[in-house]
This record gives sequence, structure tokens and C-alpha cells, in this order.
Amino acid sequence: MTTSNPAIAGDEVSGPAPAAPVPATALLVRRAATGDHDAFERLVRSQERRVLALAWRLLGDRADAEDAAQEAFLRLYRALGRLDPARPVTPFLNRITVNVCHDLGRRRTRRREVSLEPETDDPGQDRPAPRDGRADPAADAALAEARRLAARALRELPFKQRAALVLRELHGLTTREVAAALDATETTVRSHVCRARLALRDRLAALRSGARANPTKETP
Amino acid sequence: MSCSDPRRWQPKIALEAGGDLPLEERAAVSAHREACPDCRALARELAADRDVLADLAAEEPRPEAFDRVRRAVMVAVREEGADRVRSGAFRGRRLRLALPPLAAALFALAIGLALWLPRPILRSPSESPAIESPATGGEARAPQPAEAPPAEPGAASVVSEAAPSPDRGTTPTPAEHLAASGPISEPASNRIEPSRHEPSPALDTVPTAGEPAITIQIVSEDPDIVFYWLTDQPQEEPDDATV
Repeated sequence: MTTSNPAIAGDEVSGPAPAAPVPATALLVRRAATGDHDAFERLVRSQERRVLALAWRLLGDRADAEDAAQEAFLRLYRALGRLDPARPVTPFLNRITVNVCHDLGRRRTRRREVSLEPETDDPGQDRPAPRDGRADPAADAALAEARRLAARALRELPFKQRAALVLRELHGLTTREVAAALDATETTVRSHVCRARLALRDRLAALRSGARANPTKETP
Repeated sequence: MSCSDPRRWQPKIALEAGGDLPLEERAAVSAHREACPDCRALARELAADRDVLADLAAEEPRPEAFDRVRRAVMVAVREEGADRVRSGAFRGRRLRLALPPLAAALFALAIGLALWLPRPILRSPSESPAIESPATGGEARAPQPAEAPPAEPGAASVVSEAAPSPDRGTTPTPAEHLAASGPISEPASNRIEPSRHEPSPALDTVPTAGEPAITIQIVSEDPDIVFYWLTDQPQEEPDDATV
């Protein structure tokens, strides 16, 4: 499946409100590598939507996603001197983001295990309203519930399966691109994606049945 | 009728749902799915789940989240960039960029120092005051004009008494002007080596025959600096170069 989301369509993606057309990413990388902060800011603008969305989908938490995106861009900044400007920066940034989210997720899980803090699941706060502007409240509620369950089911997948599925399904990467982002073989990626689809189906079924059985209480 | 081998077919159905199945397996999996109700149901469920995921993909973080991230990143980058510049992380590139202007600046500085540092100093060829003032002229080694024979040509280092000439009236000569201002004290390093330089022919032809020989030299530490002589008649090379 490929998504129509322009944020994940190509390498030259603008930010929410770019002041000027973004020049080639390679040029920005070259200039940023010489210490040009304006060039690096434009590079961040061109990639921020993709990075933040990926972190958000991998972590399922807005604050954690912002932390992860910041860390990913800082790691990109520190790696500018080693980057080949002739190669696209997006695969490298995907890989950094996945690694940062993996580390952050592990730390967060450890912290919650220590503090016995319940895992938050507040899609109404974390997720924005639908962009399609439908006026049917019942349909909106059903859609919001479906998204909430999907997000939760996604978050309950093992990290590698989740990352493979998110990159493949939500970000529309090819199997080869996912393999590059995960530092894995294409066969491994297919295995992760296959198991993730089946596990997501099982989790969604369980969540839906739990929600139907007790609509006022959060399913475990 | 349940699937005959779900462990075999379910992963293939899951791959087929996303178009990830290798080309050579597609026909076999498709044939099994058409024949197996369980696998057909699984394929429908997987397709519905993918629709939910696609709907999830349509969501985006709020615009203010981008601004927050970008601002935080740029603040950290500017701080870190300053640290990296201080620690030399950008030194290689910056040095390469700065080398031509740096070289030009250093060259200009060297030229300026060469022109400025060895400033010419008025100096007597002898260790005694260059030109004795009339009041203290008794210490001069050169003979008095009335008693001594005419100054010999080439007496480069001899400083004679700067007696006022009746032909010139009350206008002081440069030597007299210097004599009136008293002896010039200079560090030992600025002492002249008169025998190394020839008098300037142009300045050596001042027609003041009959007057006592007056010599003014401009000396410096740099041997390449030209010494200018002002003399009123040809003089001979003195026996003692540093008289």
C-alpha cells in the first residue's frame, strides 16, 4: 500500500509553512556541513513532517515523539560531516529516527516498569481531529475509536515488527527501503511485516471485542 | 471447512495482502485463497486492517509540534555548533575557506612591519654626539676650522664643528639646527657603519666650498637603508671609520 500523504511521498518535502521553495536536499546538506545553520534549518523543515510522524507512529506519544524527532535531527547534525551529499538524506534520517525511537521506547518502558506508571493512551489529546471535515458526529466518533484501537494495537507490537509495518504501510517505503532503515535484510523485513500484520489483526480483534464488551472501560 | 495448513498459508496470505509476495508464489497463493474460506476471511480482515492503518497514516502531528521541534533543534544546534567551532570540529573546513584571506592579511602585515619597524634615525657616525652644539663643541674630535686643515674629501664619519658661515648669514644649516637641539642619544644597536655605504652623489655636490665639513647621516638598524650625506665639500675616507 502506498499512501497519498505528501509528507511521505518524496525526498523534497516542505514543512507546514515554508517561506520559500526548498532547494535540493543535497545542497542543503553540503551547506549545513560547513556550519550554515540556516541551511540546516531548511533541511529540518524539509524533513520534519516525515520524522515527527514516524516517531509519533512508532512511539504513540506526542511528547516522546517530539523528543525523538529532536534527537534524530541532532544526530543528523552531528553526522553531517560524514554524509555523502550526493546520496539522499531520507534513508539515513529514517534509520536514525528508528534507532532513536527504539532507544527512547526502551528507556520509557524501563522507567514505567520501575515506577509502575500505567501506560498512557489518550488519543483524544495526542491525535488531531480528522482533516476530512466530516460533519457526522457518530461517524467521527467511530473513526476516532477505530484510530485509537489501531494506534494501541500498533503500539503493542514488538518494536521491529512495528517499525517494519509503519514504514511499509504508513510511510509507503519499499521492502528494500525498510530493510535499509532497519539495517536488516529484505527477507527479514518481509518476515517482520508478515508477522506484524497477523499480530495486528489479532490485537485489533481482541481490542474490538473488549470495547464492545465494556464500552466505558479501557480494554487491557 | 478450515484451512488445511494455516501455518503455511497464513503468512503468505498476509504478504499477499500488502503486495509483498514474490512473483513466483502469487499464483499458488491466489489459487489456495480462492479455494479456502478461512484464508479468504483472513484476506478480508487484513484488507480492513490496512484500511484502518491508511486512515491512521492520514493523521499528522499538529503544526505547532513542528515549530516546537524545529525551534528546540535549532537552539541546540546553535549551541552545539558554537561548541564545535570552539573545539575545532569545523576547523578543517573553515581553515580551508579562510586560508586565502589569511595569507593576504599576513602578507600585508609583513609589508607593513617591514616599512614601519626600521624607522630612520638621525645619527652621528661617532659614538659621541652627532653634532656638537657650539657651547659644548670642545669635545669634538674634528679639528677646529681655524686650526685644522681643510676637511679631507671622503671623511665620511667626521663630524666637524657647525660654525655659522658668514656667507649664509643667520640662516641655520640643518646641522646647526640639529646642534641647537642637543646631542642625540641612541641605543648602541643603532650605531652607524659608515664604511658600508657610499655618499649620495646628488647630495654630495652642495657648493659650500671653504666652509667646515658638515655631515649628516640617517642611520638605522637595517643595513639596506640608504644613508644620506650632506656635505659641503669632497671628503676623503677617514682612517678611523667610527670617528
